[in-house]
Formats: sequence, structure tokens, C-alpha cells
Amino acid sequence: MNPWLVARAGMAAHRGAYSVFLLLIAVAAAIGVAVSAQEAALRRGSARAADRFDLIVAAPGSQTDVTLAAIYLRPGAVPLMSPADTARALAEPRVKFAAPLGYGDSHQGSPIIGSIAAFVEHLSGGLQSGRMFAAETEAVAGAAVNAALGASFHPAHGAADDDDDDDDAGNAGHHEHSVTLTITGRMKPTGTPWDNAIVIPIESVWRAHQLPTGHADGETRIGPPFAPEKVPGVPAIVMAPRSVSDAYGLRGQWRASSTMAFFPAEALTPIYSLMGGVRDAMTLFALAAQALVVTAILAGVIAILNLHRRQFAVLRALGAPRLYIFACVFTQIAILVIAGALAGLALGAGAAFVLSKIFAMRTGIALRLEIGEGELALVAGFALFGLLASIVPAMLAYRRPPVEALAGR
Amino acid sequence: MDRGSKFHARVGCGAAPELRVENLSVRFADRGKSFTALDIHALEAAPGARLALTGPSGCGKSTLLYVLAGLIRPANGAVRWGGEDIFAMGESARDAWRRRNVGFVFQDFELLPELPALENVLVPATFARFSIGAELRARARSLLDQFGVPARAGPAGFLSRGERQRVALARALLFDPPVLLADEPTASLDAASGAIVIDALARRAREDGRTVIAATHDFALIERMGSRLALEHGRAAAPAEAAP
Repeated sequence: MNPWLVARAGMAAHRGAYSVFLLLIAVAAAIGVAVSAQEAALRRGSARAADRFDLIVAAPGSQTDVTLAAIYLRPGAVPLMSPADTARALAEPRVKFAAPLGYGDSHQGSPIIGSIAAFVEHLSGGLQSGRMFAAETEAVAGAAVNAALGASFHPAHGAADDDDDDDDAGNAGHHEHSVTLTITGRMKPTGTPWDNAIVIPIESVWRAHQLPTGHADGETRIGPPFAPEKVPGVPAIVMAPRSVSDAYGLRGQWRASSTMAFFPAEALTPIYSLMGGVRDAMTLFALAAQALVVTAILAGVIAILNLHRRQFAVLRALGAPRLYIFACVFTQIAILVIAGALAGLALGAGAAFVLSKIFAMRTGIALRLEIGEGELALVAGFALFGLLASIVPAMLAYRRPPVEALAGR
Repeated sequence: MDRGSKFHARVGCGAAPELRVENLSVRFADRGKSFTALDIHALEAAPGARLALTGPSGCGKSTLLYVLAGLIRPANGAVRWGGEDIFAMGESARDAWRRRNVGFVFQDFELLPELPALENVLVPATFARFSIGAELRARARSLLDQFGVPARAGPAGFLSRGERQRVALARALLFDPPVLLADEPTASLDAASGAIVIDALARRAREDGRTVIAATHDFALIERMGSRLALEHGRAAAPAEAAP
């Protein structure tokens, strides 16, 4: 028994309607795939971006705000740690390094962050070209910064994204600082917002803002150790503890009345939970949309098959068993459902890919798109539902006596 | 074609069986009311007979054809082909019997207009128990050739009405069935096309020994049938008689 010939003829007879059905199924499947794949990629990408930030110490406040500012370089009103706490944290002995993060300046859309060389090495695993900054007037560019080695510029006051935001806290305009910085090196790609950042010595940031530079007056050295009485406050400090026990010890120690300390995962977990909830809700909407689409299409297919009542009756007259009629109808819808689901998988992956690129352009977080078991299960479930639902019109055709159609009654 | 050939053994078609209808009664329901659509006391046709069913529209000609094909179950009576009551069979056995023994030709051809002529002829093979092989394709081409339709003809929807009915005839004859049932096979055709179909039906019965039963108003076809059963209001107006 091979219903393909008749199924093919049926699909060819209504290729216009079937093409629309196919598109609807594909779009319905694609929505679910895109939502699921995008959320998973976002979760992986954001986790990878936080990998290098072992322990963050900041002034008490929102861990989420500090995480967004320190790791994802999203501008926000993060309070400064006191100079005394900053100096104590930067002199912390149980760390490989304690890196201050100072931001608020930018250059042609790239945020400028003041820190230390050890942090740059830790973040990007070394430079891909040039050398590390060695003076207050030198800078290291992220892998995606559009500036050549040796290029000089004046940093502008104000965060890179201030133009897009309504946040007026600390946004005092975009005047340029008088200091001239020269790019001496370029970091390796990290797949994080830091690829679009320019890192300069923290002393340069402090000096540009008429603050003490962390060293004795007249001293031009950069980097630790800092002179405690010359250290201004910073929004955050990244610590690289020497061991896991040190990490937990430091976290406990710096959770005090004037400071907070946290592992980035602590801030990301509730965000992921929220994202998961949103994904679940979106997936539910997508599944509901898929069910509606399949139901609507089945109604359309039943109407079309009604036009073929006589054709099926004729096939019965020619000797076709009922099961053959069932198979003809089921084959048509199954092809529609499976082809639509596969097209939806491709369409969803394509949509997620485009969204990832847009997201990466806007945030710098590289999203590695993977169509995993979750997305395949989603599409397989959708196809299975479609196939099961296809039994309804197939059974209607199976049960219909041929004589009514043959006799025109 | 030799009825003892390997092809016949493979498709399961045998010699034309004798037809015997006894006390046949078919009832239909219309808007809740039941009525007798067909009431045939007796009808016999010898193997290889040519029988025309005639009578005004609505007299039960098509209904009788569908009953003879096992598509409509009668309220009473028996339809015996080769001594076997086809309504004593289960539905799937009756489908298989019809597949092996009956070829059907319709007034409006009932082809799949999107498929080429050759594939239309091969449609019955798609529900048979064997695949469409070179042998069956060759037979389909040969039948189309016999009826003057090019085997490479495009979609059936683009053929002339006469060509379409000849393709339908080729489809009915694909398995060389011993019984050929035709429902107004010439009613939609012009005289020239009708003559070709009539000639083909008559020749198949006369030369190949098939039983041909045709419901028709076409006097030219009635003339070529060996006998005639006139129906009126579902009853035989007169016993089957030799065609004029």
C-alpha cells in the first residue's frame, strides 16, 4: 500500500492553501524554538561573561546593579565604596590580585574602565597584540574596539550608553578630559562586553577626575601596591582569591556594614530564575499558539478533504480499502506537519541566530547558539501533537461510506 | 492477454464469474423517511455477458452497479459472483475481491487531474499488495497506447474529455479484471469519443471474455451490449432481454 501518489495529487490540488498551512506551522514551531534557544544561549553567554569575576566587593546595595555595571558594563548608579574600605580591599593579602574597577568615561561608544594590568591578563588571558599599559597615558583596547594600536584619544566623561538611557544619575554631560591616552595593546576576544571596552590604569581615571591617584604625590608608577591614604573610593573591586576557602572567607569578611561581597552566580541565579520564568511563560504561549494553529489547520484540511469526498469514494470503488483512504489523508497532513516542524526548527534557529547577533552587538555578550535537546523535544512534541491530531480527519475519511459521495447524496 | 499468464496469477485476476442476484432490496433514508431504492427479484449474467442497464434518471441504475461492486450493502437478498455471496464477506475481504475482480468506469472519469495520464492508470496499483514495477508500467503504457493516449501525456486535467475517459478505461483495465462496471461511460463525451469508448468496452467483452455491465442512456452503447435490463423506480420493468 503506497498512498504517496494520491497524497501528492491532493497536495498539488491545493498547493496554495497547503503552502499557507506549512508556513503557519513553521512559524508556530519557530517561535517556540527561538524562545527556548535564545534563552539558553543568553544564560550560557551571561554565565561565561561572569566566569572571570571570582568575587566582587562593593558598597552595600543591589548585587544585580553591581553585577550589571561591573561584569556587563551597563551604566547604573552604583554607590562608591569608602576610600578606607577601598584601600583595605586593594591591600587584601589572601588574593592573587584585587582589581579596582572605575568607570564613567567612554570613547566613541566604548566604555573606559580603569583597573590594573593583572585584571586585564586574567580577563583576556593575555593580549593578542601590542603590550600592556605601563603608564597613566596608555590603554589596552578590547578585541572589538574600533581603534588601532598607537591611536590616541581623549576620554569623554559619561558612559557609552548614556544617550540611550533616561538615567540622569551621574550623567553630567559628555565633555572630554584633557588627558590624551594611547592604545598600546589589544586584548584577546572574551565574548563578553569587555571586548568593546578600553581598559586604562585606574590611576588615569582618578587623575582625570581630580582625585588622588593611589600613590604618593609625584610618583608616576601604576598598579599595586597603593598608598592607603591616597586611594579614593571605587564602585567595585574584583578579587581573585587564592583558594576556594579563601574565597568563602573573603566573602564573609567583606560582608560588613559598609561593604558587600558576593560571587556573581549569587546575583545571576535570581536573574536566571526570572529568565526561566519568562521562558516558561513564553514557551507556554508558544505551545498554546501551536495548538491553535494545528487546530485551525486541521479545520481547514477537513474542509479541503470534504471537497475530495467523491475522489475517496471513487478510490473505494476501484478497490481501495478504508485503511488506504486513512493513509492518504494522514500522509498529506503528516507531510505538512513534519515539513512544517522541520522548517520551523530551521526558521527558529535562524531567528535565534539573528537575535543573538543583535544582542551581541548591543551588549557585547557573544551568544553561542545551540539547538539542543530542549528545542528538538519542543519540535518533536509539536510534530507528535500534529500527527496525533491528524488522526481526526483521517478517521473521518476512513469512516465515511463511499456510497453517499458516489450517489451524490 | 492470456488469463493464465504470470501477470494474472500475480494480480489475482481470474476468469469472468457468473453473476446471480436474488431477491435484492436496497433501502435508503431521506429526511428520516426510508424508501426502497432498488428491488430486483432476480438477475443473472453468464461469464462474459454484456449487459446494459437502462431507464430514466433516478431509476436505480447506478445504485445497482454499486451493489454489484459490493459498495452498497442491500437490506435483503444476495449478490453472488461465481457462486460466492459478496456480502457474506467481511468488508476488507470484499475490498480485496473488488480489487481483483472489478474495473470501474465513471461518467465523469474521476481521474486525479494533477497527475499525468500514466500515473492515473497506475493508481489502483498503489493499494494493491505489490509495488509498481516495470511490468505494471509497461502494461499501463500499452493500455494507453491501445486507447490512443500518449503515455507521456501530461496532467489529466489538461486532456480532452475523450482522452480522459480513455485514461479512465485504461485505469479500470490495469489488472485485467474479469468484470467491468461502467456508469454512463459515454454521457459526457461527444459522439466520436463515445464511439471509441463503446468500441473498447464491447471488444473487451467479446474478445477477452469479460463481463461488462454498463448503466447508460446511450443507444449506441445499448446496441453493442448483448442484453438489456430496463429499470423503473428501482424495479425491473421487464426481464433482461437481448439488446436490440
